[in-house]
Amino acid sequence: MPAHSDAASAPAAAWRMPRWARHSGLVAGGIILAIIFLMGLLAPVLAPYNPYDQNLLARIVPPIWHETGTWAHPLGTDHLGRDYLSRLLYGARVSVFIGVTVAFVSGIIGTVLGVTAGYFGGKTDTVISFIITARLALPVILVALAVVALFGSSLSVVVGVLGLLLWDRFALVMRATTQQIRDADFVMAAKVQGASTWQIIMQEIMPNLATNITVVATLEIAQAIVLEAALSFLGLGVPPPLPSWGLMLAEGKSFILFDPWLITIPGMLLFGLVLAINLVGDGLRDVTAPDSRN
Amino acid sequence: MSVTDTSPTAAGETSAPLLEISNLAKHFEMRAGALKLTRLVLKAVDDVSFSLQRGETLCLVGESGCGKSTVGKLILRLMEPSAGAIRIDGDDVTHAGGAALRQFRRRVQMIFQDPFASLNPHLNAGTIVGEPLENYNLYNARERREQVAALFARVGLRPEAAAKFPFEFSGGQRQRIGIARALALSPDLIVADEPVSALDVSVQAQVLNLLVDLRDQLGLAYLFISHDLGVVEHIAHRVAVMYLGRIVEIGDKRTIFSRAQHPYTQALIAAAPVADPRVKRDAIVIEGDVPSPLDPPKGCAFHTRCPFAFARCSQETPLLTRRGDGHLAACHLDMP
Repeated sequence: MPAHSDAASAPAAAWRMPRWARHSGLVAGGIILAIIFLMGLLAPVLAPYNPYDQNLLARIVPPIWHETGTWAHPLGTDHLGRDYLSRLLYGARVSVFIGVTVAFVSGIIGTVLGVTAGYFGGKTDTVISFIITARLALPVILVALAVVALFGSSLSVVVGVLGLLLWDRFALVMRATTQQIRDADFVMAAKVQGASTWQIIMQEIMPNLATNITVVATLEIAQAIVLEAALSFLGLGVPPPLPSWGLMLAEGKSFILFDPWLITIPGMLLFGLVLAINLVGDGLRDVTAPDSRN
Repeated sequence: MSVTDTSPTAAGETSAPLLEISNLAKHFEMRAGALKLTRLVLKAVDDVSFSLQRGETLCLVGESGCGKSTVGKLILRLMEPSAGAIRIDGDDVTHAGGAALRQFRRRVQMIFQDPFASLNPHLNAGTIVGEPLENYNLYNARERREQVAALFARVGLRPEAAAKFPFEFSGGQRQRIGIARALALSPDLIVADEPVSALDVSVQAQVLNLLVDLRDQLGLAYLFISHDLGVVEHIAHRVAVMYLGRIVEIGDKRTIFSRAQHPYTQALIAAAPVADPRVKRDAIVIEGDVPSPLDPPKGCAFHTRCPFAFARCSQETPLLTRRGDGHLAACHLDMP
């Protein structure tokens, strides 16, 4: 990138395109993520078939790269004759929706708890730390299984359970980071200048947590997607016939020996999505860290 | 400490001093031992009294750990004092809270030592300087920008710098931003905690001159905390010397630098470097380390290191006594 001695003085310069465009991980992850988002968003347009339509005459049609593959079903069909490409496209919606909403719900819970514990310390910290420890003592899968067994499985139950369970990392990271920032000189300066506790938290603490929140959020999105897949695989995630990638893996597992693509295609997509989210998270952390802005 | 010092620069005897602190103390309780049963009291600040007039600069000097920064934080109400009183214009603000504390904060501001840690890296310079105005809902957005531009000009920064982020400035420039922020609410008193000690020597002089100019233009009073006697000599009107949480000597600058009464003050002045290798020194040299503030020596806290110590010093704590006009020292020696 050519040196911009002049442009470097503008505040917008820190956010100039080349700055993040030079981060190859961020770009690669961003492209994969964009493709998967578009897949989900444009599923009704792109999908050649209704993902729920069964055609028992065309069951387990192999994908196009097989000798017996046909262009009628580029990625083949599953054991009920549903078009695999259509189901994958709609499945992207389910995975992304679950990942983002779970991270959002757990992010709010975890950040509120973590910042409160970190900033106020003392008894508040003791109480919240106890809640965090109690939460860490609960095995996520087991609790999720119990809740699903009680309330039945649906998309909202999965999102609710995971959202209420995955906030521990947010809370721990926010608590530790807030404790560090709380004693910074610039927080003391804000106090001297008459800032209220709310103003200090919103103006001084939160901007310094934004990077960490982003990084944890990406980890949690990825974890939620994988957990949903695991729950669906166990038959306790989203209920069929919803086209979730995890459910597709579960449904394909009986055919793994002779028709492995039923597993490998959604598996690869899941892998690509989680990888892309992690790449983007790491990239965002590198790019937004203030000490590396110049 | 019953004697209250009077400032030589007092404008009128009748007007209350801008800042008056009396018998201020900050004790930290600590627990030691395997079962945390032993109670120890750390007297970070003990029985400190002084007053400060408008436009006056009092320098607080002493070795690190002597409690000078704690005095600053107590005055800024960033810590609760264990005892004593803080008055500003005669109003007791020692335990002020809520609205009274908010009003107090507008009058007393702070400049920090570390120009890197004291600015939020995620906010641009204009936001940082404008924040105090926002906290008090002063002016609308446009007027605030004008105020910020005026503050930038006042501290010698270009108004365009408001859009930059802290990392884009040098240490000296950052310190100027910190000074502009402290000036935003037009305070009467600024507590400056080692404001130049983190800067290069060449930049130190510039920032110091800026502080002097601002004092003269705006009538600011400074409580200037420093361990650098060269800096102190440049900016102080009066000097207070602290040792292990107590003021051992206080007086106007000329008296302290030429006729110091306390052996510790004499040793500090003698230890300050002089930029002339030919200068011969017959200085008092103090040896050893500062005793632990958890277990300070009996009697005069300085007697363990004092070359003139005698029997009385280890038994009786010397009080601040009058040695001249506005000059107090706490020493059993009666030096001429």
